[in-house]
Amino acid sequence: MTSSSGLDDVQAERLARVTLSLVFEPGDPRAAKLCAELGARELVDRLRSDRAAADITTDAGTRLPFVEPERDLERAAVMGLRFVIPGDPEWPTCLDGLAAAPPLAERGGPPLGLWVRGARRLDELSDAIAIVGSRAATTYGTDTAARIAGTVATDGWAVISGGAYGVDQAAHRGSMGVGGMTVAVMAHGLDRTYPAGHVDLVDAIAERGLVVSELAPGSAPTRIRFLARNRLIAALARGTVVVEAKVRSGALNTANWTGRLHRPLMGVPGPVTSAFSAGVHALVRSGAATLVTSGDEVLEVVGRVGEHALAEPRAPERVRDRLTVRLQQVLDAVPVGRPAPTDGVARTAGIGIVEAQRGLDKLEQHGLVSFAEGGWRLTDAALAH
Amino acid sequence: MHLDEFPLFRTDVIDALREPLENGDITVARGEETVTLPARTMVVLASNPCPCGNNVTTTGHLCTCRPSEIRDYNRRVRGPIVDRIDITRALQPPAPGDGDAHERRDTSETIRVRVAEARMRQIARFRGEEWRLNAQAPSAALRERWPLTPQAEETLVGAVVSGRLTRRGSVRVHRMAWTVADLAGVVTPGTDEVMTALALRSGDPLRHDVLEAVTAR
Repeated sequence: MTSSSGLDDVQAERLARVTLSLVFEPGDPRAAKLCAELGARELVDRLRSDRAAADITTDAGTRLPFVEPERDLERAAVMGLRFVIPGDPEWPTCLDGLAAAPPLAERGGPPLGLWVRGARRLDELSDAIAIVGSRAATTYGTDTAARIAGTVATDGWAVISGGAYGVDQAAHRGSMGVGGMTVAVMAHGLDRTYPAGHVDLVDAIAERGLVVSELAPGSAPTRIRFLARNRLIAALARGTVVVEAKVRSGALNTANWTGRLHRPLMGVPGPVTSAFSAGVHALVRSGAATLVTSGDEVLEVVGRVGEHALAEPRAPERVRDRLTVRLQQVLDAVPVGRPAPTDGVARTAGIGIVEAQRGLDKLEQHGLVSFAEGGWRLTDAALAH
Repeated sequence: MHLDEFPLFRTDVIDALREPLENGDITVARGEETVTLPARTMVVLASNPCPCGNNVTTTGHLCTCRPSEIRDYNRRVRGPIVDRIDITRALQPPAPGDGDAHERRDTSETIRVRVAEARMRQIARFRGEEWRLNAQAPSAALRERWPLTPQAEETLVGAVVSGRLTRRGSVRVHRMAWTVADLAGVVTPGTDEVMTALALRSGDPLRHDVLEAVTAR
């Protein structure tokens, strides 16, 4: 086989997958399954010649006559888009996990291919974290998302999100603010931008990271397409952080996908009175998500064992903490004001006079008590504690 | 007027702010003479979370204050003066990447236009009255002639009943709700505007959709 026929093969495969991605709704589990079993070219041939299963042929039949994959690829190239398929050097292997994950809301399976805009490569995504949440967020949610994104990006992790307003936007921005790689996964064709007021941000993401979609140029976003898109956000990342989600937020669908892929799910808490955090709190309470409050804690959850282990936050140790309980008992019996004689301290402490004397000597060595004017009193150092 | 580290001020200085904050003037009595001077100004008070400043998780340091120190410090911030403060905001130390090129930033010019428009609405609304702005409107007049929507009123009454808000506070939230409505171009303050005014007052996070209604104009 010559190299040119090898190239032809790849091109034929790419055209077949463009065709399938135009014919089927994204995340149609039947398409993914048949494509895996038969190969993309064979599946297209069978659809064209009515040799596929009846239901799928009927569905495909409504769009198949209008599909022009060569033209779409050319137009996409003019717009700076490429169509990446399995087998391409750039194909991100982290998506393969979708083949084994059971469908959710009748969406599932790996994508037939990905439309990609941007100078970076998809296979740079071996270390990526998804940060998702409500479009209707609060200033707490967006501040926290940006802060977490900044921290993980500084550690070299890519940040994946959905390119929407609110938490998504804050996550992309937080990553770009420290020069990080960020990926926006869209639920529409990349020839357009939703919402329209968002063009600058999406352009900036394409410049420094990647904008990705399963949907061919010209496709509008629908509810089902958002659900299909969410599985890609979860699958491109090693773990997902949910920041602010109401009880019926789309971000919870991404969280479910993270669970299906057996990857770490994390939730950022908010005030218990806030409806904007109620969905996150439910995830944590059910045990599905781990509570995280900072980027460092996110890295501890998704990082390789031991790599990001955090020190337990604890108060600084004080001299008093190192004393035995008996010695503390003596110390507590020493007055602040008028000095007390040794027998007075022993009586207040309820400890024998010999041991009290020895204890007072030891406390004096620690600089906690001093003897003057015929009695013991606390030093300034002891009072400072 | 900006008072930095406000909890460290003497109690009598803090208490002296009550009158000008409430009435917009200050009365000085010396011997037999009394003089009342105008004192309408914006007052900005700044404080730390505690005397050492680390009683939050975002500074990277642990708080070294004794509980009694924190209590003494916060007592000043919770005193009667606080009932006269309309906007409370918690600021975090700068994070890496803050202030990036994609952060929404309005120029002072844009904000000036927005504020001027809001003031014009107030002046037009109060034409023929003895005051011009929401801040000067007497509470009785507000309640009777410029009420909130019924649901918004319910929200406000609920906040008073639950003890979240004093009576004086509820008047100030009513005024602030009008200001939010004027900034957003809303004809009558509704639940969104009252919730925003309450969040501004308590220091709770603000909703982006409400903020966008203001900044989109």
